[in-house]
Amino acid sequence: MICLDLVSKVYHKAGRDIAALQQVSLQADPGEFLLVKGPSGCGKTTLLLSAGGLLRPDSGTVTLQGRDLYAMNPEARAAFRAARVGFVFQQYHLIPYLTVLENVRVAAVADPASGSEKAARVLLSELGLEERASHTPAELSAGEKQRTALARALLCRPALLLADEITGNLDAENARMVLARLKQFAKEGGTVLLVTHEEKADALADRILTMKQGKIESDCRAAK
Amino acid sequence: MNVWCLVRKEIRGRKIHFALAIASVALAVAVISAVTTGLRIHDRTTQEVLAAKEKETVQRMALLEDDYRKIMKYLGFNLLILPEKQKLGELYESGVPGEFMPEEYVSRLAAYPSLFIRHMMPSLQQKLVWKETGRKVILAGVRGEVPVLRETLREPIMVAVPAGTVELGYELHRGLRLKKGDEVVFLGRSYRVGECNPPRGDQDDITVWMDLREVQRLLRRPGQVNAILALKCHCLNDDLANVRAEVAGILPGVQVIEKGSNVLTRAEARDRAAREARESLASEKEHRGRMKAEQEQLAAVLIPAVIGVGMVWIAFLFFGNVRDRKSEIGILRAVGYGRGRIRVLFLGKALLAGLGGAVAGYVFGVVGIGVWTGRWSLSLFHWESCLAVTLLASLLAMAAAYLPATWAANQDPAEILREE
Repeated sequence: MICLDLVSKVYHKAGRDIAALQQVSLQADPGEFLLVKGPSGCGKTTLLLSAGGLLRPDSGTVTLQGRDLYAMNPEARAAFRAARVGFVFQQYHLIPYLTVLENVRVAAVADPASGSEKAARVLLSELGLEERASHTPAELSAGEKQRTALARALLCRPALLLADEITGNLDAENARMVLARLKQFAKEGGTVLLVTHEEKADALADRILTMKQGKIESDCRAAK
Repeated sequence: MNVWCLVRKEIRGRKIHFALAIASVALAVAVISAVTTGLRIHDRTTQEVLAAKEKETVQRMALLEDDYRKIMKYLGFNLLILPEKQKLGELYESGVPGEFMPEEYVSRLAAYPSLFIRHMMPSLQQKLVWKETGRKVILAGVRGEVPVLRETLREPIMVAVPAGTVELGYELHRGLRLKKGDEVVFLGRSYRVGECNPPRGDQDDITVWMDLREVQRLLRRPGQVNAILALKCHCLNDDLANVRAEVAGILPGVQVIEKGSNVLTRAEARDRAAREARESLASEKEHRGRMKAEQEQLAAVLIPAVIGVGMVWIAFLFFGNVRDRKSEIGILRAVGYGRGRIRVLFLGKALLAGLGGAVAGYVFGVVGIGVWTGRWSLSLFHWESCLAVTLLASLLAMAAAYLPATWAANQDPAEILREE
């Protein structure tokens, strides 16, 4: 279970204070698929990064499976993140000199056993990338890149999957494939926090959060 | 996938960057190893040059000695024939002999068929006061050179002082303001100054030379002399004992001493040659020492400069590498890589660049300087030096990459991922 309690974050830019998150509280249970929506600059990405233990909030706490992420030292938090959190971003962030298979396996930091080559190949097969395993990112389409990034996030079977605009660069077929895999992850007991403008994702979500100016304006159960 | 695997793959993926890093380390190490090997070559060359010079000196000395021996064989030596009773200590103390022998000995010696003496000069000498001037002088009566009957004289070594004249030493004619042609009174008799000698730096400067007969009269020693000087004597083996025995057989009651011998002259010549050789060797040593000091001074400036420039260049390369890999750093941090592992990504690469560059640079530097100086041989390789240079270069490469690696480790992944 991920729990954000009164989390605030202010950026200081060009002499101005920008409140990215204002006392945001949120709880998501295992198996839940949450959509986070809202206009640009409303704090969606900041919410994801804070929830994933990558961005320390100015105030408030973030707990994942009962562990306060920011009470840990940076090395312990990195190890915890490696084992429990998966990230997928719009820009893929694939490592250019590694093959698809290696890019997936690079995530196996905390638990090399769970990141075995066999497990990675199974994931690639599920995502339709088995033929691309030995290719480098430069040889992939946008959809293939994003599926590779998703495989990397899923390899260590995290408890929480954080995805930021991951369908933004994809065609309809690839977007459907990616969203379906996220839904499957949630069904398997993982928690998904997906930032998206994609309307098609609404149908897959359990809850839809709408953010505005650093606050959660609404938190609705999605219509099934 | 462990960090070293990532380092290896990144190197393979960014070959140009790694090649530049290796090249900068290799260049620095090549310069350093070339300079240090150059100094070693210089030392080796110095040893060889000096050894060759020493050997040459020994050979030249042997040749010189042989030459002197041959030359001096024909120079001959000088003998002083004195009355047997003459004590040499007294002679050296007073400067003139005090005992006497017959003047006829000279004729006997000149007539002897197998003798080795070529020039003979009998003399009668005595130290006395020139009462007319109050000066202490040596009065020497000479009769010039006595001809050796068995051979023709080529040139007289000393001519006789004509009767009625005197020849004055430098101190005498200078002190008494006398010049050639002046009249002087010596022990009540008048004489014309026939010669005024230049300074000789010995007792000749206070000597008055006269005709032997005149001195025998003045000293009341008719038919007597107290020394026969034999000049340019020849003896094949420089055997003074034989000479003495031969003279003793002809002239009873005399003693023969060697004066200013060729042995001494030869030793002196040999010493001078040896001294010159030593000086030449010392000069060569000094010259090569100066050259080495200059090279060491250059190395003392060049090596730190090369290390400094190399480190700055490596740091510059790695800062560029960090900048190019920001996205990679961001995602690696996101998937759980700690700061330590991120630092190892860069320091590991620097270590490998240091190792590779050092080995390549060492080989290049040593072979390069060896070929350039024309002294290339496998013995120029010192494995200990290679190991030391490799370790040092690797450490310095890591030190140069430390700041960029720390910069990479301190990158905020949230900021990178948010900005991207």
